[in-house]
Amino acid sequence: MRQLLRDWFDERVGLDLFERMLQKPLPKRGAWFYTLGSATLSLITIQFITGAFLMFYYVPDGEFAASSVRYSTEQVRFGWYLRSLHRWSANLLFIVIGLHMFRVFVSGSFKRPREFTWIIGALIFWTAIGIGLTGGLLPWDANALWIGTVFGNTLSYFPLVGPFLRSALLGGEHVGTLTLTRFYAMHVWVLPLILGVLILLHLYLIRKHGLFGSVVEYRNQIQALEAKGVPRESIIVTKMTPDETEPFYPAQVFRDSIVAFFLISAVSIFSILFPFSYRGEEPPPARIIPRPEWFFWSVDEWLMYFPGRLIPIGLILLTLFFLFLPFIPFVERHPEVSPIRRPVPTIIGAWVYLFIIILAMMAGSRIFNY
Amino acid sequence: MNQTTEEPIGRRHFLERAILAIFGAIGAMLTPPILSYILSPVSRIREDLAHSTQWAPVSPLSEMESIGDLPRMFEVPYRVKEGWRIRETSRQVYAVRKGGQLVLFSTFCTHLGCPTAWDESKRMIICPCHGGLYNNFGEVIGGPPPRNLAQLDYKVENGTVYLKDPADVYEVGWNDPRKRA
Repeated sequence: MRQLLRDWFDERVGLDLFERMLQKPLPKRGAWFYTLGSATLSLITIQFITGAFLMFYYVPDGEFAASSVRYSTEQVRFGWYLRSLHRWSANLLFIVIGLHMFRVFVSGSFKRPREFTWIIGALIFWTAIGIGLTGGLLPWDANALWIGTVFGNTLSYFPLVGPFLRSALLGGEHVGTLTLTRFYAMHVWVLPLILGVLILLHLYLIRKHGLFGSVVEYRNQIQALEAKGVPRESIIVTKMTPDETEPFYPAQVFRDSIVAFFLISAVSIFSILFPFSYRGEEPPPARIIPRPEWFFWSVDEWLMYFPGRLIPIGLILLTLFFLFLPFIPFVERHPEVSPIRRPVPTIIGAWVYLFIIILAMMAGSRIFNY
Repeated sequence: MNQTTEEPIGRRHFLERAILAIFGAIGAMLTPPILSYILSPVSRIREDLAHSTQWAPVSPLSEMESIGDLPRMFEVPYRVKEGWRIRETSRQVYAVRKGGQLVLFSTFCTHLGCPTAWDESKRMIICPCHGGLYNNFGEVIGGPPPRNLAQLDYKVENGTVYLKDPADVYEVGWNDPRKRA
């Protein structure tokens, strides 16, 4: 009966394609590290689901936004829960994306022929930042207003185009109703649509290239080829032996499900223990201290060290850092993937992460001690 | 695939170019209106400012007579035009007497526009965002701000102090954007 049903669908929708995808072999070694990508996807899925339902009560208008948020948080049954899920999983998302990028970088998984998987991943990272940034404005409380103001003013320091970028982003000269509508459109449709397309491309490329393989296996293959006198640049190492791999389904799907379950449980527990409340009417305007979301803390701290005439330099360096991310596969091109055998990239990568974390911690202590 | 390779190369070449041209034309039809649509509010900034409050009452002059060389903060309500609506809002300004002359200046930090406040114990104006520091006259004494707090134009009419163009809040950078041509 099951086979009959399967064949019936196979003839009409082509199940073999999906079955082949599910059967793709993956390395057994380090399989838990490969759950970080799917963990990112789980949290993004939570964002899509909760976000869609938050829209049921949200009004993107300068006059009603704050009260609609207040209504959905305080009156709507489980409104506080959905909103907290949305915010907590956004918070966790940036940690998981950071870990995923670090894993891919350290294990050299971005190398030939996977350059485009990395590039699309970097674009996904940019898009996620954009969604986080535009979403911060939507509660339309005093803090949101200042976040928008600071962001717009930061852009204004770009040479020549700065003031134009600022007013194009804000939809005018100040953060107001027109800012809210455009941030809303970006947050709920434009950027998520781009994100969805990028994720599909990312998944397609992952499936196309199949398993990456363990570092040890790659090293052995590279050494064998080098011993034969093959120049390093032209080495592409490929398949692993079958006993080192197992199909994506069910073992890896099981691992992914476990990770998804724990992540979503964590988000849910955080939401229940530390729900986000409506903050619109606290504190009085004179005492407002704008607080960026923590995932912008390192950026916030970075900008502090470029006073006066140096502000654009800090901003341009920051922009160059983000623009540089997709080009990493073209900078580090030799086939070696072991983090130990390519110490310079590993050390640089670790330092960059450490630097970002230290900046964020400095900003955090500054923000909370003020 | 077999069919197309049998076709004369000229025809295939033409069709490929035609496809590009068709989508190019579709793009050209849609892109300029959409860009112009998105940027529409930018071209209306002056117009919106013209429909916002021109002179906002700060306080009666008599209340400002006791102000010395320490800044006092005033809440200034005004109306600002935003697209289809006019919103009631307010901003804060400092008033201080400098060389016998009453001076109004903005509370918005010139670094990134955060709301500053006078700190009575430290005797300076502090920006909470990135630690910009100003003295009692709004002059930079530390931190990242590129210039002094923006000095604001005012007038006195019938014993009341009025602030000029309160809705024009773009004040960051080392040149005062309010003084643009």
